[in-house]
Amino acid sequence: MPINILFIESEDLNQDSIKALLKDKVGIKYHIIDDFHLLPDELNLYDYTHIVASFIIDDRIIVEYLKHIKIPLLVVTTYEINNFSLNKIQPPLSFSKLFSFICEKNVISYETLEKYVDGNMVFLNKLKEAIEDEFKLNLKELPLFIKTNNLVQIQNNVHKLISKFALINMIDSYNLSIEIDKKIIEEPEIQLDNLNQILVDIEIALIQLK
Amino acid sequence: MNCTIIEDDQFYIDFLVEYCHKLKIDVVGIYKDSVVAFQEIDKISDSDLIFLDIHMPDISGFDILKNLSDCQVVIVSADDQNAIKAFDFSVTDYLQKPFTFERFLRAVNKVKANLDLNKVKEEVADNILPIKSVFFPKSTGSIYVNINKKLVKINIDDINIVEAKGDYVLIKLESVGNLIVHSTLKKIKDKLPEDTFVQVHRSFVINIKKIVDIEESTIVVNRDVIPISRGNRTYLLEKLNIIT
Repeated sequence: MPINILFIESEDLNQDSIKALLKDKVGIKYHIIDDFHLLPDELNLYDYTHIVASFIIDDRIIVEYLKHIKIPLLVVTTYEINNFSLNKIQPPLSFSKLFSFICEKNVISYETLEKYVDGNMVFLNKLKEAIEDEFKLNLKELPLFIKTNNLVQIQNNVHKLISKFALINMIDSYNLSIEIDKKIIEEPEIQLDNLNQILVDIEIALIQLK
Repeated sequence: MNCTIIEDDQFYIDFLVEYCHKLKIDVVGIYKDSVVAFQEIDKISDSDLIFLDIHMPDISGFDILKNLSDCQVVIVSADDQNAIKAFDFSVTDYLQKPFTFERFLRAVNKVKANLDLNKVKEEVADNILPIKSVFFPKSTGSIYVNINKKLVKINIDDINIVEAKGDYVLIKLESVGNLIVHSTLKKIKDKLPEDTFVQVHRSFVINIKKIVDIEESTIVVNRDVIPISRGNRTYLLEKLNIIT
């Protein structure tokens, strides 16, 4: 699932902080707007997966815009806002807080995997562990292959990941990895960008596989 | 039945081994390295069934496939696009990863059917003169088979079992061994007397005079043990003189 976060933040310092947080996380796409008024158009025009917003900007509060929001929302605020049912954290926003928020949205499911093991729980656990090990290995290997531009090895690793994504119902990752497998040699730039998204997906999946 | 697995992904090796274990298929060889598999291709060719991955480093599954002749090969691949190319090599089946046990079972059954048919063809080639057809006269005492343009008479009472074998039918006789005929089980069954011959399974018609004993799911006819389905068992028991 390619992560694309919409930040709503008017303070320059906080905007810079967001940019610094995500500077090295090339697999996470994001955009920052500084006004709630821009929110409806932004959500209509682009496929965002998450929103991280201040509670209040120029005397308007995020709650007024909730009807437009159908994706997970995290509110960063110092205000006591217990009368609203919002997912909120205290500033400053750290990467670990942000990543925990991203991981709240379930990306994996064992429904498919269970179908393949026909009630054999020992086999099911063995397969889960094997997927976890393979994901961990790829988190180590793929960044190295990216650094050395080893496209053939990237293709080999991604090829093996395709069916694992299918087994745990990571459909977006499955489709994206098929694209990478087919096109990485011909169009490496675009596919390396996709690969960075896959790395984020694997990180999220590893949290949820535990 | 035995098999060899050529697959570089341990995950799918585990998958295949587990599924094979369920079907009591003996895994006689596992090759994670396609280069080693390529070097041992003669040994691998002796397996009843070969599970072969296509996408492997160094030597692809297609390179191995080119060098396997007269083998039952089931491709296991994450790609659906290689299927057409694979069938050009006359592979038996193509499993797209991940695959369910039911899909795996279908592939194995195809292999079994092919192996049975090959066996029948070998029997025809080795032991029996070519038989083109079977002639059934109106009188029910005998049938005629065409052997080298000569009609040979077989007494119906001499028939123990008639068994479907793909496009052929195997007729097991009391006196002169087995005959293989290019026909269907239904066609032959329709010509045999109903009071003596009963279908006990999808693939078997038996002469009830030759029954030795009947168990829950098997029946012994002469010296052959053959399966009997539940529905057919009830029908058969009704026809027999049962003393309880």
